[in-house]
Amino acid sequence: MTDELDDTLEVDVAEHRGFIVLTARGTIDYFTVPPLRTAVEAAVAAPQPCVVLDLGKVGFVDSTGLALLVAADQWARNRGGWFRIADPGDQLRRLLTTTNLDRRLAVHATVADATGSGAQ
Amino acid sequence: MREERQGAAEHAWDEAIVDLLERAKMAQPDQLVGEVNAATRRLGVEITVYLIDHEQEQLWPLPERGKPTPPPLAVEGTAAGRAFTGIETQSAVDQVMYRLWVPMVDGSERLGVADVVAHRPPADPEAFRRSCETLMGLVGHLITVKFPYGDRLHVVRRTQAMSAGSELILQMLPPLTFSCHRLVVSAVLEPSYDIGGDAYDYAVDDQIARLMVLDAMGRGLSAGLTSAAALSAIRAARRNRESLVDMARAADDALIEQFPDVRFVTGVLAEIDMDAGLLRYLNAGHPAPMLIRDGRVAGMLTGGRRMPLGVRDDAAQAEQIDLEVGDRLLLYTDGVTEARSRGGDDRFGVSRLVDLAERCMAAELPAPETLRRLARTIIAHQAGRPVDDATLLLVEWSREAAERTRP
Repeated sequence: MTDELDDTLEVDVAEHRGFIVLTARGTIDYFTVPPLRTAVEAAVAAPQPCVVLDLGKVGFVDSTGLALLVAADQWARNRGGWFRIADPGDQLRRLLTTTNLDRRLAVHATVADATGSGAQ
Repeated sequence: MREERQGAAEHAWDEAIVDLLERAKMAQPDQLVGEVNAATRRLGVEITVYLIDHEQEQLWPLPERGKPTPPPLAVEGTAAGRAFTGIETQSAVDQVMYRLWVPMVDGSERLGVADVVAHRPPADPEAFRRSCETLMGLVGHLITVKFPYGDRLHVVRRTQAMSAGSELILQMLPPLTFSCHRLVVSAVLEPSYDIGGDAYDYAVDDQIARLMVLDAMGRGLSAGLTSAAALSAIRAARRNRESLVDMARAADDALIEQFPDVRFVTGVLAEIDMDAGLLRYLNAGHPAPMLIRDGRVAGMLTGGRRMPLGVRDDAAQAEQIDLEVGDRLLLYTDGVTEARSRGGDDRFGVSRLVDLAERCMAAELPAPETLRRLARTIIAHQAGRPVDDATLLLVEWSREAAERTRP
């Protein structure tokens, strides 16, 4: 699947009361994914993890990135929690639709929507 | 007198073919073309065999002991290239030389061309051409049979080193093109020297043609291994006569059992029943196949959807639609539609693919040539950018299309 070669990825972690927000900036692909994988693994390690990944500043996600999202969702469910995606870009939305993974992953317009009481 | 001479000429061809079959038995792959010339010397011809490279841009001569090796020939703008692309013998006759460029196929798989130079103009040029085509059909089979026993034939087709991922995938795939009386299946896979997780497969038995295109997540050898696990599981299930849904489940199981991390493969599994005029298909998170009817894109087949292989989906059901003789089906991976132009965000996109497919179909080219041109156009669109895997698989369900792939 598609990828970019010369981009970088930064990940910030913010712990709120009851949930964790991961904010990614840049491109999520085969080459850049390691720091996000580390952050996601740490975030879902606790019992009943509640994790939002803010993708508002991510321009591109490749299949390796998408696999991490599926894995994060699985890990969180296995531990009785949830993993939600906020503000995905057009390219990721297209990828989620094509792969049918929009049926599997919880996608929200904003971080506030993702953490709001009606979310899921 | 003339008939007698012709009878003698035909007899000489028969003898040469029998001699070649005997010589081929103990020939190493690199020696085969020498044996071809040894067997056909009595016919007063000199043959140089050219193999097509993986990018299908140039024809490369097979080296022969004691003979200078000629330079490669471009597919575009040469008589050799026209013989290859059109699968049709080209004659290049002048005062000095009587020469034919004969397409070399294995069944309908385009392997390359042969440069056949006759020392004297033949008495019956038409019979001579037919004899050359028969001979090269046989040489095409023999070369295909010899491929696994040495590296020479593999190396001649390469213009650069091949990645381990490509070695794995290419070993696993059936030939690019298969034709039978009723239908032709053809595929193209780019970039062939550095394949990620793209793969295709097909099998034609009785009235059923079974097809698939796969695209594993990730890159390089790791993606290749993911793809290999899915393809092998599906093949095993298919040969165990399981349904499309169960083939996909077999791939789910293999991917989940074999890999500790999450690995998924998107793909389309399809089967065409040519007696019933039915297409059944299952789409595991893959771009929708394109149905082409009467030369126009009649629609995208958006049914039969499920999660990618490797993510279990118990709700999955195959979609079934009617198919008509003459219909074409185009399967492709997202490397085709997501291909972006240099320095911009201009995706190749589905509408460009639709437009291009319609123009190519209108030219009524042999299916492998249609795909070669589609692939060249997509690569040109990317001009210099890192190339993502792009795979296309075309099925043309008609006798005419099948005939176009025959020399």
